[in-house]
Amino acid sequence: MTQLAYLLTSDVAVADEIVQEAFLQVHARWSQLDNPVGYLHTSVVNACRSYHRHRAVMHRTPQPRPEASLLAADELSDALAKLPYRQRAALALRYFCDLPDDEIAIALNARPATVRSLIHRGLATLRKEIER
Amino acid sequence: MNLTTPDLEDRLRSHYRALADDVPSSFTLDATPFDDVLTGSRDIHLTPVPSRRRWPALAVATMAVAALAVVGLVIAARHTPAETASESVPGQGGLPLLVPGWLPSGFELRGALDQTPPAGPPSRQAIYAESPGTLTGRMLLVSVTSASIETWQGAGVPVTVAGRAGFDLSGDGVAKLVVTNGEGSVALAGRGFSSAELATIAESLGTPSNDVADGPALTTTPAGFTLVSDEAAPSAGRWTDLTYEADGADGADEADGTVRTVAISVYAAPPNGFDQYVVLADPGAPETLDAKRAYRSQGGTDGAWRLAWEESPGVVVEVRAEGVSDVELTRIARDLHAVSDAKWAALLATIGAEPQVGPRPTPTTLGSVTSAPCTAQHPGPPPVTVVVNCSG
Repeated sequence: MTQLAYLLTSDVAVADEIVQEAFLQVHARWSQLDNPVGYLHTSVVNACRSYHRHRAVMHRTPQPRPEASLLAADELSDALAKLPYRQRAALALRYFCDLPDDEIAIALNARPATVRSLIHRGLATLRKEIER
Repeated sequence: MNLTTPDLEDRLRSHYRALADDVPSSFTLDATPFDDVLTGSRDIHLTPVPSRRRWPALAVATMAVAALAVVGLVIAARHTPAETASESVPGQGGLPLLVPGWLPSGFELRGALDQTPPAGPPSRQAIYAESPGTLTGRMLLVSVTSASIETWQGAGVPVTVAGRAGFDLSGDGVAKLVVTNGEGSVALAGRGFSSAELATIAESLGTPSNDVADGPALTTTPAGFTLVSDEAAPSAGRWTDLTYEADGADGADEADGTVRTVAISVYAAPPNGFDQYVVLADPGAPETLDAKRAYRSQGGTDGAWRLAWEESPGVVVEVRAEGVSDVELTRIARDLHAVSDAKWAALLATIGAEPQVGPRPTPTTLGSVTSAPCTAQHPGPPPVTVVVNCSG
């Protein structure tokens, strides 16, 4: 889960913190949850998005990635960084977590058809960027 | 270069794996025994789990006191007690339907959730505390459930404790460990405990029952601790969320730099539900809000304020606010008031939702995890998912 958060934030410390926040929410309601891992995916993806929003509030101008050195400085990293957040999240949930459409839909609060569209558009944009 | 979809997918998988390898995914649990926790044979020198996001407690407390002093003076002059959340109007299922009486300018209702999750597996929650009167010292929560450990697969770091498979979920100032218990599982959460101490307690668990009538959750109460409560969890507690956003937060994919949010969560819990919240959330500085037990903190990756309180026994309220001050947060909290079912439904209708009844809730950004249809989609902008009366 921390690895997923890292893929969405590019910051190990932030990823760790986001996951712990997600665990907290799960624990607080675990007697009511029948799918804690699904809930964790949802919480982590939402928290990563919130993190990006907060960064935008705190830093009105683009900031260098704090963990840029950990990222492979290749064309795929650059292309991924240009994708909208939901497309990035959908790709990470599919190709890192190996989740099916319906579980990605839960994490993204979207319909499975939307998930398929996000992944399709994300791949298309990546291909275009790489082949440029 | 012609890049096929399978090639691109393979590159993505390799790319993600390479990146993820930079992040630790497992660790070895310190197996140092902490039998002293159970026997009290000598003093324990605790190594607190570091809290990464909390402000220094003194700073938080100072700010909270200052904020309350200022806000209290202002609000006390403007409101009668009847306007505060303490005048609860129980909604359906006994949960007060709390709505804000005041918000900073520009906020609009953007999302709502009202659900009663399907009945979960039988469970109990026992709380042990060193300072039972104040709940400020070390605390231990023991949750026994018939839910299989498999439901936690992938959720934490796999560990094995005395032959029991489990997951370590520790962090954020609270050590947490869940291990198998026959066909079910036992979760331990300890504020002020280390993972190793929890592991030692887990080693002496025996096979506790999820029925309170069958005896204590722990065969041996940790030395210096007192059993505070031992409750069966409600089979299906109602849970509401209202999310307000301001300044052009349009739900778009990317950050626009202007989003501010206020989220109000109310949920039904066991009678010791707020104590559980205190154990699990390490929720910051204690205070009172209109004579109710409350905790306040700021931090996390979103820098949000959190103010949580016990509205009544078994009813926990948490207000999270991003992009507002703690003074504004306090005013929001104090101006919450309960409304009737009819007014609640009317509020939800303002965002274009048609209440739908279904057997199970559907996921929203606010946290439901099940998957059957029970939503109303407002086309927006922004699109909003609303879950209403899902207990059906």
